[in-house]
Amino acid sequence: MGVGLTAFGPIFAISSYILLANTPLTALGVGLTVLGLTILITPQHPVPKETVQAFIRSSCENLETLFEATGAFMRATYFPSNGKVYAYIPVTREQNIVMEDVEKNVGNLIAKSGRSLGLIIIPPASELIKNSFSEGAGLDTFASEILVDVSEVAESVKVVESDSTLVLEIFRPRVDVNFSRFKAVMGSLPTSIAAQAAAIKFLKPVQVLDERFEGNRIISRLKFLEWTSTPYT
Amino acid sequence: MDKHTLYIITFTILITISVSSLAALGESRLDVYTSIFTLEYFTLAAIFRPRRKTVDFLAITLLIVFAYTVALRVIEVIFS
Repeated sequence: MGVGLTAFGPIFAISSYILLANTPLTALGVGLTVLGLTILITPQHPVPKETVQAFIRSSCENLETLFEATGAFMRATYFPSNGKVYAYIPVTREQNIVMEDVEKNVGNLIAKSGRSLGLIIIPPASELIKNSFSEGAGLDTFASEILVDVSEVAESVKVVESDSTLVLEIFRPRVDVNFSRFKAVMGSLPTSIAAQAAAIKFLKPVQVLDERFEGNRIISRLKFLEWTSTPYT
Repeated sequence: MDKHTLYIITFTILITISVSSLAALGESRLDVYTSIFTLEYFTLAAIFRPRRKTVDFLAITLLIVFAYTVALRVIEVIFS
């Protein structure tokens, strides 16, 4: 249909203009062309949001099982590496590994340095963030694109930056997971996705400091870490 | 109904209404029609936030055409 309108529209517009000298018919031809092109560039069967959300949930369930098995309970640190976001989850209490060394271990499931032991995982939505990242956009726009438009896990998001802390206000979260270990380690799903967006945007390790659930909004605080600091919280 | 389908249907209805209304009013300037299409395109894009398969080159084209039209009008006013 889009191809048909795109092909017919210009022919109709040009012939109306040249042969009939009729402006409304010419405009109708232009309108049909615009409509045809709109149909062509709009995906007819975009992946339904329920499907995207189901994939994300399954991914979280896997991580919940992994965290339970390893006994991980400390907060994850999200960090960028080669255009993707990873999460480092400390497993032992003693953490003297610096984020620089954690980054060198990307590709391994386990990062070990002295007595420090932790997991390096690919958090849910990491791939979405990688595909949607655009250099020019501010964090506000980028977080909104990821949380609202692409994953549709929230209705809107506001970001306030101050020094090494980010305060996020996520309105009407539509999807969250009820995995207690996952939430304790990674934060709620919307916060986790926002932290990943912040990590890739600022190319710095990011940790979820805390989050509050107030009615239909989540207020989260994210903290930027230096590459030379340890991820221990 | 899927929001993308609703978006296309709404855009079709708006184009039909605008062309027929302007034609009924006897409007004979093509730039008025294209400006209305541009306005409708951007308004619906802001409301429905449809996904795109490619870069939204249509938006860029419509914006350029709109800017050109406005520029011509401004020049017309200044030098008349």
